[in-house]
Amino acid sequence: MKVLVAEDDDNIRNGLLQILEDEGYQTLSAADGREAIALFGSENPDFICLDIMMPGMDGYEVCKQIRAQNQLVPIIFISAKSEEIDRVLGLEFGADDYIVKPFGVKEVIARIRAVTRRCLGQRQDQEENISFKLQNLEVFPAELRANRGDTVIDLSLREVKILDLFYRNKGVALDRSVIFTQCWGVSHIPNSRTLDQQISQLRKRIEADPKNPDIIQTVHGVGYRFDG
Amino acid sequence: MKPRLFIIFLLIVLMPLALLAWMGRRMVRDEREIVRHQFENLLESQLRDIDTLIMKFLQERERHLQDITDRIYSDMEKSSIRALIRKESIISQAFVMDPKGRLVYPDQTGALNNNEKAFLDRSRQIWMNKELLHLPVAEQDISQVEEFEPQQAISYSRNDEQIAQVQNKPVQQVSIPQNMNILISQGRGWYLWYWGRGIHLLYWQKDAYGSVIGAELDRVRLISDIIGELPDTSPGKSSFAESLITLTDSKGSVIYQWGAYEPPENATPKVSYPLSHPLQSWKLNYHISHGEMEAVINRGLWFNLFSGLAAVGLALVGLAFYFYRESSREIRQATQRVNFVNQVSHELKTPLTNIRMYAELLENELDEEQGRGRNHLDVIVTESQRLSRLIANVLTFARKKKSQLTIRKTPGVIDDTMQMIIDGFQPTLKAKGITICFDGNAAGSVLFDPDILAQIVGNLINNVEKYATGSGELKIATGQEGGSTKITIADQGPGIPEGQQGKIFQPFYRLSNKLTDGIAGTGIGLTISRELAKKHGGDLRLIHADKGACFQLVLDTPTSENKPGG
Repeated sequence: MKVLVAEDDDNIRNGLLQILEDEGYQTLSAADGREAIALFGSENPDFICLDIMMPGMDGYEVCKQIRAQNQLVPIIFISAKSEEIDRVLGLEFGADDYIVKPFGVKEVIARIRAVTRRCLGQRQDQEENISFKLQNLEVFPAELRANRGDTVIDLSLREVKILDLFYRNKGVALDRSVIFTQCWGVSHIPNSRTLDQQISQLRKRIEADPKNPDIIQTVHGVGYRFDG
Repeated sequence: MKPRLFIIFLLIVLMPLALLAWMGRRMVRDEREIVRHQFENLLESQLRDIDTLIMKFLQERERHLQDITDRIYSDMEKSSIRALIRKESIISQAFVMDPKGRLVYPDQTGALNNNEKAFLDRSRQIWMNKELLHLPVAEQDISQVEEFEPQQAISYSRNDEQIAQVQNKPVQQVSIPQNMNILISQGRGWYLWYWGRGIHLLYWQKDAYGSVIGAELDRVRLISDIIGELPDTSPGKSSFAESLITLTDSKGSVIYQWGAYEPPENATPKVSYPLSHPLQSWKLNYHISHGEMEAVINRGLWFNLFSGLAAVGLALVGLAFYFYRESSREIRQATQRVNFVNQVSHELKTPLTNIRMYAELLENELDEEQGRGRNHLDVIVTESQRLSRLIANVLTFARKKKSQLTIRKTPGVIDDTMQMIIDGFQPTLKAKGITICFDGNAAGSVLFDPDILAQIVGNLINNVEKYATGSGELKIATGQEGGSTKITIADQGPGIPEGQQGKIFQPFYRLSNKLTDGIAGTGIGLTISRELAKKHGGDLRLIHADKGACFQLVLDTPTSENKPGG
């Protein structure tokens, strides 16, 4: 999924991009409203994170112009303007959600996942695969969640991609580079610590005993494997 | 200026002006009537003055006639009377009538000259009716002389207002020849009759015996003399440029006129004034052009009205402009304040966002083994959260002044929000030796503003963190009853002295004692918390506790099904 981030503050923009990339999204960035409009037209992102107070064209105007072309693409406002009128105005302009600065990373992730579920839910109508199972873990990709018994586990997009990769390659020891290519994108090769950290965090949530994992097995010198 | 403000401005100025103009118009109308009456009175007084002038002349003439009749009385020879008539041009004829009403002169039985014949002809009615016999006689103490004795020397005073008194003794007042007849006037006056072209005037005097002696005034000479007393006809002599005064006789024929104005034919005079007796059938008429009259009546009226309205209008415009400027200035200042607050809010929140976001991102990248690093990041995150609360408090306080606080209630679970808040404070409080014990009994879905709840509870726990360090247990309990939620936060710290308990909710008030001096704070936390609680339909109170401080927060939290209207 492609996400467009429009934010004039470089640090906030880069931080958001990192959060989104860690979640498994492809990212596009714009430093002002006009650039955001241009990128929306050329790249057709799946959803958009918009700051409001930007030079040249503010976020409200960007939202208005995007909505004039596309009524369905999800838009989240991320702004320091916290008054009710600001939120109401943002939602009236057509945004789907409104995050107030300063925000916690978890809050942003939760709201982005909520939006992603809506996007994926719209696509699900066209696809057959609703869920898949990795042992006793049932994964619902469109809902970015997995169930183990009664326990509901929220998943990021990347985590869903990783689990989907293992599911489709049952019994195969997947090389690190393969996992990187499939789940991080061909152009982006993070260091191996990133992969290990990601797997470690995933195991903490999906494994009954993270120290003795059943689902994602380590294959030393190669990568990881799902035995089935 | 916005259109609506411009319309209001016009209404503020125009409506009072319109009202004033309407009232002024009515006033002017009434004023005009008053001025019109005063003007007519002025014209009438001018005519009255002219009448006085004419009467004065007639009085002078009367004295002369009195002298003439005295002389006739003293020498009643026909020739003497004729000679006197010829000499005195003011009279056209004289007459003497005996007590029986017989005309002694002119003697109808004798030879008459043309003048006498004409006189008799035109005065025939008088002699036939003997009207002069019945003229009033003065009720004075008349002479003891029983018969008409013209030779008797009598003294009398010539006073126009008095009838002569008869004394039976000689006097020194007047030197009177012994052979001169002196008329004892027992009555005198004018007699008016109509004949021919107009009125004729007789002057008469009656003696004690009832004889009447008089003279007819020469009509032409009379009119000419009267005209001579009147103003001439040259322009500029009358009071008004477009006016004309006429003296008309009983038939309305103009005897004389003066003034430059030419009234239309058959025009009615503005004011008419009949002359006094004996010329009461004559009238003085004042003609004045309508324009001249209106100019006089309106002179100053409309100017006064318009100048008054202009002055009031200017004052109103000035006042309205002043209020508009003041209002605009206040609006501008308020806008500047709002913009400033928003700008400050944005400027503070942006770096704060970065601090918190990058701290959390870094935290995610550290291994569990990097405990010290994680702790450091915990501090950064916690402090940035505290800074967020502080900024929120300051902005809330700033907005509170302008009543910009708004409550936004959404469905949620109070205990979930409380748990989130408590989780946020756990690391900090743990570091300060405070353990939170949460007893949650508000698990139902209700309507409330989570941000408001977070700000209030955050302020209260923040105070515990500041003032109850190392105090051990912090008990937080929630409960729901009816449509409200009660939250109790009780610490085991030093508490609040009784003397200061009533002041802690005042803005900028901070506890001051040996233990608390030096602790950082703004003094607005509790103020804002209580204000927010009240906005949320509840209250924040300090309740009694055996140890430490115990705050009770009550919020109006209707259930989701019972969502309040509006």
